[in-house]
Amino acid sequence: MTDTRIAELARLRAVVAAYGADSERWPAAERDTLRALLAASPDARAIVGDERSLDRALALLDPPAPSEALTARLTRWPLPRAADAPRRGAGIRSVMPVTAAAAAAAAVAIGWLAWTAPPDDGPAPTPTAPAGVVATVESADQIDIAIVNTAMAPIGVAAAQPGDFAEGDEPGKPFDLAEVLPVE
Amino acid sequence: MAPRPALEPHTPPGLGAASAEPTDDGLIARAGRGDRAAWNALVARHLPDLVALGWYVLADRGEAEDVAQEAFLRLVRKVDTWEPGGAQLKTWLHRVAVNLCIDRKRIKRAAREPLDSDAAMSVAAPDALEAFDRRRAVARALRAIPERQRAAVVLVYYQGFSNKEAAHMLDVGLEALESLLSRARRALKERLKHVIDDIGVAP
Repeated sequence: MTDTRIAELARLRAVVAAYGADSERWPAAERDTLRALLAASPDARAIVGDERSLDRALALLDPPAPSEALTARLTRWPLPRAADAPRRGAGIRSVMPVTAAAAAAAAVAIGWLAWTAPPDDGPAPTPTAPAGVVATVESADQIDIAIVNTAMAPIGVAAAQPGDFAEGDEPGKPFDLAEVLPVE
Repeated sequence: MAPRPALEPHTPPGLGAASAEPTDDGLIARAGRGDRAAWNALVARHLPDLVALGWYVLADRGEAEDVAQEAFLRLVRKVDTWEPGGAQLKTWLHRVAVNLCIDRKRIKRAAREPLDSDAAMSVAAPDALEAFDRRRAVARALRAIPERQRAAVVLVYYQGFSNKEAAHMLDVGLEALESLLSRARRALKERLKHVIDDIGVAP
């Protein structure tokens, strides 16, 4: 056996000891050379064969898929909104600008309560808004949120669009904005 | 040839499969403009691998999901400033996740089995029980080696990264990566001798 072959086998032994028997995992720069060695040398094939059983043992593990709860949580996260985002796209709703949303809700609430304020001796009305009331707060470059009350929902909570819900949510049910914001 | 672990990402329910295969950079750019579908596609594409990475390294599904969530949280903060053509998203996410895993001080070494207990209950035949025992032995052996060695094995063996990519994620040179892998496999062989012997005589 030549010195070159001895060196090649030593390198193959080191590579296989680190990366295993599957040549796809071997360093790309050495893969072709070592594959040629494998084809030509019974000693090389014996070296690789010794590592194959560990590869097979490691392959017994199956990792879990992400839970539906995690997937739902991540896909509900608020995204940043750039200036060139659609300004009035159907179904588009961001919950990021909580401050603006709260301001919108407050504006609607104050306006509605002022409009429906009873006479001093009259009964206090239930603070609700009629179906179809839409309030928007438009800043310099974006619409922050639309509050759509599809039924006589209590003022101050945003009724979500149908596509905004993850599994387990109920369309039309008021939600807490804090629930869908990631915890810092 | 040893069976190679599946590297194809799972598709979470309700997200659908992307047929046009948009690039990560393209999806990030759209997500940065508030495109929910693009963000969901990124989640569908990379979340399974991140959870798997965390599960292999931390041996705990709950902690694995925490790590994956934290990695995506860091991504969502970057989507509007992400520079296309720079770091590959998959490599970037895995590097973040690996560091999160290694930084975690709370490694639950014996609290929870990494294998799904339902899987244990669902098998009844002796062959299946034997297979479950082997899987449990592999999980325990993996859990027993040092974290950086484990991370190296997970990145190269289970997740199919090249030696250069794995070295970059672990912030080590190629020789150091090879050393981590060699020591890991040597330790695993010692711990899994009975499993390897069984597999060796299996048809």
